[in-house]
Amino acid sequence: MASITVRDISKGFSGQPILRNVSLDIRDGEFLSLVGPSGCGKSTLLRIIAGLEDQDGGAIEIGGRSVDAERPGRRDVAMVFQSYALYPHLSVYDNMAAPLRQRSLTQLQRGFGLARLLPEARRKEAEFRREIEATAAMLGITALLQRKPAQLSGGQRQRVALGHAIVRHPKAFLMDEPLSNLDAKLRDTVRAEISALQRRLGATFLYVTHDQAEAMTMSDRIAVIMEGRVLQIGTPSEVYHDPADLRVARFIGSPRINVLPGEVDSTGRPTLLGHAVDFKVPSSAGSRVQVAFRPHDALICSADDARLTGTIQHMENLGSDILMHLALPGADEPIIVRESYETAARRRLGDKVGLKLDPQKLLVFDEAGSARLGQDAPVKTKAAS
Amino acid sequence: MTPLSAQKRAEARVGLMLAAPAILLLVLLVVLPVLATAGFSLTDYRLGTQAIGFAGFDNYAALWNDPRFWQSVANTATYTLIVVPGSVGLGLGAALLIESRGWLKPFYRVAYFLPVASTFIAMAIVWEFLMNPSVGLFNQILAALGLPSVNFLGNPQTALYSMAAIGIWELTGFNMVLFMAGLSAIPRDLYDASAVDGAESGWDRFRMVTWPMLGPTTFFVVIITMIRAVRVFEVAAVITQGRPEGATEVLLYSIYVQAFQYFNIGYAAALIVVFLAVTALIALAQARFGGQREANR
Amino acid sequence: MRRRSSSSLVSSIASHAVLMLGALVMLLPFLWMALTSLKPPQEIFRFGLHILPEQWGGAENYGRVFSDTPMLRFLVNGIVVCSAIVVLQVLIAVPAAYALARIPFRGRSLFFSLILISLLVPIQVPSLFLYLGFAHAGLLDTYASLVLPFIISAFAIFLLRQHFLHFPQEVIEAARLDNFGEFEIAWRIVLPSARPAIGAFAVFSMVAHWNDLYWPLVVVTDPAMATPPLGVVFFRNQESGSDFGALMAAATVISAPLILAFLLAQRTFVRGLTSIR
Ligand SMILES: Nc1ncnc2c1ncn2[C@@H]1O[C@H](COP(=O)(O)OP(=O)(O)OP(=O)(O)O)[C@@H](O)[C@H]1O
Ligand SMILES: [Mg+2]
Repeated sequence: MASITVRDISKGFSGQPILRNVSLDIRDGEFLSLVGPSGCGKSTLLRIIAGLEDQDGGAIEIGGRSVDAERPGRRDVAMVFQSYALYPHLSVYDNMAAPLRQRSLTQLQRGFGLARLLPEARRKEAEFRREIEATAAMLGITALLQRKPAQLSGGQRQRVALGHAIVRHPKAFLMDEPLSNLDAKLRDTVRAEISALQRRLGATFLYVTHDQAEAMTMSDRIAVIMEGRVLQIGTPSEVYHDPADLRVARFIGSPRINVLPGEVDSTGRPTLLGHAVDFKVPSSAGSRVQVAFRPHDALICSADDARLTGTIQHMENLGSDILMHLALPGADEPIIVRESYETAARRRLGDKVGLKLDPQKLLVFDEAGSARLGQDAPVKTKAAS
Repeated sequence: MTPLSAQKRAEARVGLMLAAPAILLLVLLVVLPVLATAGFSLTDYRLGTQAIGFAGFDNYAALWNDPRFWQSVANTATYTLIVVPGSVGLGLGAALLIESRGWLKPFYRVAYFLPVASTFIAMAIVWEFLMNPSVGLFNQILAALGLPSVNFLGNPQTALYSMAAIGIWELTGFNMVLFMAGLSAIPRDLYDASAVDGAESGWDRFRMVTWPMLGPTTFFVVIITMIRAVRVFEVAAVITQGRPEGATEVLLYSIYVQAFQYFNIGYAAALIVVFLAVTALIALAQARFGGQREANR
Repeated sequence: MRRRSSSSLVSSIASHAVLMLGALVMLLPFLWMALTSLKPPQEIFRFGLHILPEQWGGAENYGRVFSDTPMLRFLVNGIVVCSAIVVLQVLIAVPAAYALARIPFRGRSLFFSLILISLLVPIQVPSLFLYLGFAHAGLLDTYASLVLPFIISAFAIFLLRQHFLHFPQEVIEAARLDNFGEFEIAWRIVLPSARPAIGAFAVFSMVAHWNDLYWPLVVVTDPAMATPPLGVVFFRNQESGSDFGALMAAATVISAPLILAFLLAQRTFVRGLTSIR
């Protein structure tokens, strides 16, 4: 196992910059997820680390050693592709044997079937067989070893792809949305399997996903990439509760975070939609800010009890909870508040209600959204999610 | 900078090396001969004569004024105009009928496809025997029915049509298989949807779903059949030798006779250029309109 | 979609009747060829409709085919020529198609345009020049003249290029990570996946060249070098169309190999012969 260091990597395609000075430190044995909107360069970064793509600038180290001059096959990382990328003409067994044979047999031994019968090659083949059978047993695919990839279901192919990666004990695993082709149920199962596997192997994982639940539940840390830059790296609860950037706050969390624009008055307090709130921000009078809060960090009350008021526009039933969409005069988008089923049952569409915010839970950003502003009462970052 | 870029240059060299034999042979066996033939068509070259003289467009002028050439063109066109609708229509009909019959389907497939997989010239000789004016099966049947005998391939009135009948027999099975592939690619849902929309009879389903969905297949089959029909040769060359009275003289046979029996190289080259223009026009029509139809789907 | 059963029974019987009639027409030449090849001359020339042979003339007819013509020689020529063509076509087309699909090199698009144009050129077009060339080189009536014009197949290159082009890029990248070299990737990963396509092409090409009459007619005059189709034409001209029993026996002999192969491997045949799609 090994750490991976990504230093100042930049990359463009036909003049269009895709990655701009991306740096990441993935510790030995860590599970790091890469998340970001589609097209932000996640796959490109993975492919650069694997050596399948040349970077324009910057350096990659694996296990503390520069690998920039190494062919992909010599970097000793395994990659699991979204499409599984199994060899179509080889059986599951041979698919899993391929990386082993390619690494430890000589050109002669792997090029000619007959050379496999020589004692040296046979000893190695026996070793491979043990390795493959152990891995297959771990993944529950022992019964499939003689099949061809075309004869497998999606979930089975997924496991074979994992087996193909695991069997040779690489220094690190790179996984590019490996679960995206599975149905929701299977995805949950395989997700748990990968987590368990990672703990058991103690291996370094760099994991690209679109699925936030996946990133939140599996990762030690999450890196959020947007527009070719790493906006934040942190534990799942850090990126959720303590986002460094408004774009991170907006990207992480479902239902999405609410954002209200404000202006700081002469007392240092922001005014939201024309209503003053009772906490200060460290920003000069007259500057504009953006105030964000999660749907469960706000309360609906009667319209008389609050300064911010709005009408109920839509109610989204999640079963246990209801998401209330409030239209606030002057706000660009509806404010979403999570309420329990019992509380929400009393309300009707079109009701005029008040909105109460918990000053402790508010996240305040500068006008551009790229910097967090500290507050009187700092947010607890290690709060359980 | 990194190993990949250096590797790319080495790769490009390998690519050229891999393609080199094919490029060389393509130039030697296709490009050069085609250009040379176009060149010959502008000369008065005949095998056996010593000097080759530039003749401008004389050969084309001679073609233009040669009634045999026009007969050959007319025969080829007539043949194509019969064989294409005949074999495409029958192929489509057979495909539709066979598709809906589970039982015996394998038998029909084999029976209709057999002509495609057999040696055509041997079967042409069998057809000649079947059509023989005295001992042929067809005339035996006509006689048994009390009808006068017909000299199918020997009578200028019937020879070309008899040849076209053989052509339809040869190509129907091939077109049928192409249509069957096209049919199996039509999503079943569309038939259910058309039933919901009120398609009652088989004809309704054909009109609303099958025919529109088969459009691109049909276009493709028509083009392929045209290209094959224009290349009709065997029966004319071996069985009828263009006779009677030039009734079965077709383009390829004219080329063969001029080039390899009279060794009229210049004149034959002009014929070949005309022939290439005809086949290329058909193929270009496919490239032009076939692509469009695909895109319109 | 289920229709009422009475009308569907009627339509079923009707379509089977039509299909059976069609099948009869399609098979008629084959049946008549085989039956006639078993009849003695007096039966063939007797007036009136007789379907099955009454006396056994098969031995005589087939005997004449093998005694009056070097029929075995024709068959061997056919096998030699077709195998040589197919093997050389594949050997030349595979690397070229691979390069076209997967390796950028200078002149690649020009080469591909040339391939596309060549697809439009039937053998009859270069035949005149090639004939003159072979005649000049003294190569008429040789295997070389029968084989060489066909060893470059634009169709094979096009077909295989499409195949290699659609081979998933991610599998190739997985192979790189598995420490396969670029040559090994081509040879051990991509090429095996093309086996079915190569097989289909081989069937297509084999059938086309076994049946080809035009080119052998141009370059071969010596019966010892004739391919089966040309052989049967020689035999027909030599019999001047009178010994129908022997002629039908000859036709049976030269069409039998393909028909048997087709019946044994229908799927492969249909896929191969329709691979022009
Ligand atoms: N080989 C290439 N040539 C040109 N542009 C490319 C190439 N590969 C990727 N790109 C571009 O680079 C950008 C980033 O692509 P990448 O595949 O890394 O995105 P991603 O973050 O993995 O997206 P997704 O989540 O949709 O998989 C995209 O805009 C893509 O169009
Ligand atoms: Mg991606």
